[in-house]
Amino acid sequence: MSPLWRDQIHVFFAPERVDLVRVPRRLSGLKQPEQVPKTTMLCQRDTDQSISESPLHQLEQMVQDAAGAEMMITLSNHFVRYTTLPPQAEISAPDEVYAYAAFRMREIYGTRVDEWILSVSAWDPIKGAICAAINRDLLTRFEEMAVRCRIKLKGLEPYLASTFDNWKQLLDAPRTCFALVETGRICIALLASGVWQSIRNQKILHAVEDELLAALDQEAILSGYKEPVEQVYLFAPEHPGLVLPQDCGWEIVPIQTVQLPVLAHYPSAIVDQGEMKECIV
Amino acid sequence: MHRLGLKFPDTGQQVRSVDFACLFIGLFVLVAVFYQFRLTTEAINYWNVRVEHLEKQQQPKKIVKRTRSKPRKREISQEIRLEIKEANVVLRQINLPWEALFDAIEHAASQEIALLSLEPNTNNQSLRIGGEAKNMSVLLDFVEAMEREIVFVNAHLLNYKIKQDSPQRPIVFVLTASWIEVS
Repeated sequence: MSPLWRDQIHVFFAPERVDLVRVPRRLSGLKQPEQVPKTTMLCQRDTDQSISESPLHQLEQMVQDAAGAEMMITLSNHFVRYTTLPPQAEISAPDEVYAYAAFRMREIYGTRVDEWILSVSAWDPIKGAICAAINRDLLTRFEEMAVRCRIKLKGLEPYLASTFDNWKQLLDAPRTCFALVETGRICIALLASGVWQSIRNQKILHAVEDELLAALDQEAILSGYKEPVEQVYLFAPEHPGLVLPQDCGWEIVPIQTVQLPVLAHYPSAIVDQGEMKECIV
Repeated sequence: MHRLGLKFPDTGQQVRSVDFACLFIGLFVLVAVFYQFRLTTEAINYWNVRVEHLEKQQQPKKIVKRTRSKPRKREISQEIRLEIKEANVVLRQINLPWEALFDAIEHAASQEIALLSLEPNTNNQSLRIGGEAKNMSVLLDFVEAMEREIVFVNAHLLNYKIKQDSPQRPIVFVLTASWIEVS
């Protein structure tokens, strides 16, 4: 089937929720594609199983009738590990870049890297890059599910990369701190003059505000530089009321979503119980 | 700032230098094509203007030619015809059988006939002879003698006049005769 005829399915895939938006495509219509409402399914995790099992099962049920469609999945940071690749002027060939990324990952995560597959952003010897990794089994499960449901799997995209690419124009500053908060996880990326300084991707064990403030302070200390009041771009759609204490040294800059709107399949705070369904595996 | 473009499975590192090389080659080709297009357009405009100019220049000439060329041709053809006519006349005069004519005239004439003029007309092959005769009988004998000559036919006396003021009373005459070509 021609890609012009395929329906496009965008999925946000997290341990506790699956958000799905299906956009019908019609070749005849040059008009704006019609967008159906987002479907959100909440999942409860069974402690005996991996965190991906419940949402995988749920997603397969959601796309049972979507044969022939194309599916792009945005992976929650729960499933992704990141590391920065500092600039190395000597590295230029793609093979060297991947060897460098594998080395950096192994340096941080040890032998667990053997079960992962890596993806490296566009390498620049002056500005470096970042590397993301997911479990190889997870990708295999998605591919198997796509075959079963006769869906074309376009790929899996980390949540951080998706949001950063969506708002990269806003985040283009001499010094950028970008915090991405979702249910149960905080991801903080720090850039200076376009060079990736650090990426922190940690669980939330206590109050979100406290954890976010602590993580920001730690990143500032590790970077070795902090303004009296540092700005942080915050995207936390599942925590609309998230604010930091006054005089904490951090000022939240909300993401301007007027010109560059939030992608429809991104998670959001659930206010209407009607659109939410619960899944227990 | 570039897109991260992180994706699983990984699509691989793009060789940016190749991308830029392709971009520059494409831009160069685009500029070259645009430059060539501009040159061609200018050339087309130049030749269009030139052709129009030439057409404008040729149109009055054509009118002049139309008005002048035919009379000129006519004049030329008339001149040529005249020249041809004159040439034919000269040729005919050259081709006159002078020797035979003179022999016949000398044979017909006697000592009492004085020939004063010979005017050949090549168009009708006639000869006009002017002269003086001693008397009328001598003149008539000369006309008869001319008639008898093989070369001449239709020998006629056109006019004659007796000179009263002369003591011998000679006769001034003009006769005409046609000659025939004897091979």
